[in-house]
Amino acid sequence: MPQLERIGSWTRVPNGSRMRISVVGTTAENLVTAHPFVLRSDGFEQTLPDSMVQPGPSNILLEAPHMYSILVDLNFATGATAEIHAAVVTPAGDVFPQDGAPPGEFHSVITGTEGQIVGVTFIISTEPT
Amino acid sequence: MNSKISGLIVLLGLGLAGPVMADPTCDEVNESLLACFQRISGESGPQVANVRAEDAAADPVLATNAVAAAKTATDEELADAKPSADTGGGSTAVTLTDLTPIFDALGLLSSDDSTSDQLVLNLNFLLPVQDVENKNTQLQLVVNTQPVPLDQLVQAFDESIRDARKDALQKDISTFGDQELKFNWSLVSTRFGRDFRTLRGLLSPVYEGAREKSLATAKSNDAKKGMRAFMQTLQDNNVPLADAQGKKINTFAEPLRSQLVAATIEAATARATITQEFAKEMAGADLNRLTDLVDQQPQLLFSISHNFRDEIVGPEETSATVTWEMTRRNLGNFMRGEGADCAKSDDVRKGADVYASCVTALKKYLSQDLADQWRFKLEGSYKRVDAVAYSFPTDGVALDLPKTERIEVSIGAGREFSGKPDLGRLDFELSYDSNINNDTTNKDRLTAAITLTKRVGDLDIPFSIVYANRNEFLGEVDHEIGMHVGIKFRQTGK
Repeated sequence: MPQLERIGSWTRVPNGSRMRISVVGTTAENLVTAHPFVLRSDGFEQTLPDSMVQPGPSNILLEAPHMYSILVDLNFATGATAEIHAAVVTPAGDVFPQDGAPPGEFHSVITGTEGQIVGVTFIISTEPT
Repeated sequence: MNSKISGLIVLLGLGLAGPVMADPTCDEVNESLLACFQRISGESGPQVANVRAEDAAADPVLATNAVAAAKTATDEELADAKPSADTGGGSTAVTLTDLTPIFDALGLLSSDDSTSDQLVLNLNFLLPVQDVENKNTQLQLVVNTQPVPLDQLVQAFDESIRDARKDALQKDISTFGDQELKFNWSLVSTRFGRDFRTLRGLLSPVYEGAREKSLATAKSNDAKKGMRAFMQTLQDNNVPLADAQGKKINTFAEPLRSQLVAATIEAATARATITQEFAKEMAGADLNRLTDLVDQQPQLLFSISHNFRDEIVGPEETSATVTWEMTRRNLGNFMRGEGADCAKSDDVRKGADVYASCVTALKKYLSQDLADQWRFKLEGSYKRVDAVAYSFPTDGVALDLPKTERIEVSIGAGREFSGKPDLGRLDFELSYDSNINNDTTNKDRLTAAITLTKRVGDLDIPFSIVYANRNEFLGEVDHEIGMHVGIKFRQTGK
């Protein structure tokens, strides 16, 4: 099945891998801000500032045996088009392919109208330790 | 509680429901669990570009379509650039049109600015400053694709030979016979300019405060539980995410299938809740109007240009302009004054007391209508036209055009009434022109104008009273006061 536009998943990524997220969308005339929220299966939570992912990339450590949901809300302060890119990189530095690959990395182009907030979701399971 | 029912309740609470709200369900035959999640979580939401970059590159059909679309667009541009049959500059334009694909391939063509009679080439790469885009600097070459001989020269020929001479002169104009090199710069900082690339750093911490606050609401906390429950259900049942992403739902056996569908619907509804809580906080705190303040930012613009021309087209010209526009209430003014808490990025992004204080200040600041505040403008420009001489002794034509210089300065102020354009606006302008006729006699002129513009439907009706110490066309007039009434048509919604 091809990649979905607003949800990406990775199955059994190696412990210590990193989720690399970047967003491009703000131009001289258009403003988009990105607001990632990391939710881990054990209850750990973390928000990341826009400045870390735009232009990014921001690296989020993925530790076994947890599952992660990373909820990125794109705030279109003006009408704009944003590109969101996400990849899992193993401790060895290789790209770990997303489910349904190819493509191995998640990339989506999202158009939003002024005042619209669009949610993009990444779900990752780690390799059992 | 049944997960479908709980999902419905959450959606109703968010105001997403229409008059009739059906339970969200998954299409078990055609959808995977994650496809169902995506659809339900974004059902009221976004437009996603139909073709992703990778898909277009990987899929030969999509790639072919993309190339075809690009080719069509380019062909249309080229068609626009082609001259009509009766245009004097035909041969030049065709030559330039032939070069268009090369300029485009080199990334030089500015298709946004190019029109049917001009090509605009971006020359920023020639600037010594790195990262010129972020410094709001632009160097462009504007090439006139349909240059024509100088009208004064054409008119100097006797009428009996004028058309023939005009055609002959036209053929002597080179491909780049009329081009303008333009350099534009605008000051971009937190105080000047409206460039979101610079102002994002000022605005995003405030949005992050809203995000943080929205994540702490009771609804968001319930939603987080829904997301965790989904992950837990997959883990407990050893369902790989790859299956949730790639397998159709009906390939899972019962009773696991029902359990997975229920957890998916609950999680998708929860995901929507988190986004909607953020949107609700943004709207409730008026943060969507922060960009209105950006539109009020002062601007300082500088431009300089030089026209390189074949003599037949006209004399070369050099000009420089400085423009300063400002309003009293704008983003920079807010962030440095009443909204100083909003500028405390480390504190405001926590979504706590400083954020609350920032929101209070913003609401108060925005309670005064921004549209009806006074706008001021100061502009100064200098223009020099080089001397040029034409001599066609056999036709009895000798035309000498002297070098001229001109300085113009204007000060203006204007405001709309009550922030409603339909009630009209008032403008004042005082301007000085050192050389009104662009000649060597340097007749200067001072004008003052007051204009009241009433808006009636799609018409703007300006009523002006103008004072001038000299009439632009009647040299003997010492002082003049004129009254003008006009009608301007507006595009709907402007």
